Amino acid sequence: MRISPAELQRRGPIIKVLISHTFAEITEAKSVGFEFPESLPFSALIDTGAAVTVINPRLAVRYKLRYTGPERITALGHTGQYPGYAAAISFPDQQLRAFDTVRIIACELASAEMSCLIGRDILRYWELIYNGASGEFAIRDLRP
Amino acid sequence: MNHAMPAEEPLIHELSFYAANKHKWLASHPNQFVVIAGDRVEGFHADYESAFNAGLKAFGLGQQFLIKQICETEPVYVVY
Repeated sequence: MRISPAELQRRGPIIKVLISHTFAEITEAKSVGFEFPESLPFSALIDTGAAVTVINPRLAVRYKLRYTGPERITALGHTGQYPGYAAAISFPDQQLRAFDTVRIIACELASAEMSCLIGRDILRYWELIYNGASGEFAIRDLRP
Repeated sequence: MNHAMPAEEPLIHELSFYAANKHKWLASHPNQFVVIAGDRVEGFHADYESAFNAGLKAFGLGQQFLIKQICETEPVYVVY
C-alpha cells in the first residue's frame, strides 16, 4: 500500500479488517436458525509492539464475540486482566488469507480513531515490508 | 481484576477448577490448551484454534467454556 512518507509516519501502517465469528460458530448457528450481528470493516494498525491482537471492547460486545477467559496484558503502563475472545479476522481490501480462529483481547486503545491492533500473533505468519522513505508498506502471508 | 473485565467473571467456576488442577496438568500436559465447562474437561490441545473448535463441538453455542494454556507462570502480553 502506498500513502505518503509523512502520512505513513503519522498514522502508521493501517489496513481494513473484518472481525466476525469463526466458521464453526457460523455453521453451528445456521443449523439452529440463529444469526450473528453483521460485521463491518474498520481500521486496524499493524503493530509490531503488540504481542497479541487487540480490539476495542465495544466491538467485542457489539459483535457478540465468544468469551473464552481472561488474559493478562500490560498496556498503557498498566498490567491487568482483560477479556479474551475467539474470532475470525479477514482483510477485505487486501489479498490476504483470513485467520479463522484466533484469540483477540478486548482492551481500550490509546487512540480513539483506532479500533484494532494487529499484533505479533498474526504477524508471525506474515512478511511485513515497511518503506518509510517512499511511504509504502507491503504484507505477504507466508503460511503454506 | 481490572476494570476492563466484567464485574462478575462468567467463567469463575472454570477458573477455580483450573487452579485446583493446574499443578497436576503441568506435569501431564505442559503448555497445552485445556477446555473446561463446569467441572467437565473436554480435552487438551496443542493450540488455541484446536481447543476452541473442540470446545464448540462438545458444548455448542449455548454453554460457555474456558480455554486456558497450562503454564507454570501466567503469560503477560505486552502492548507498547
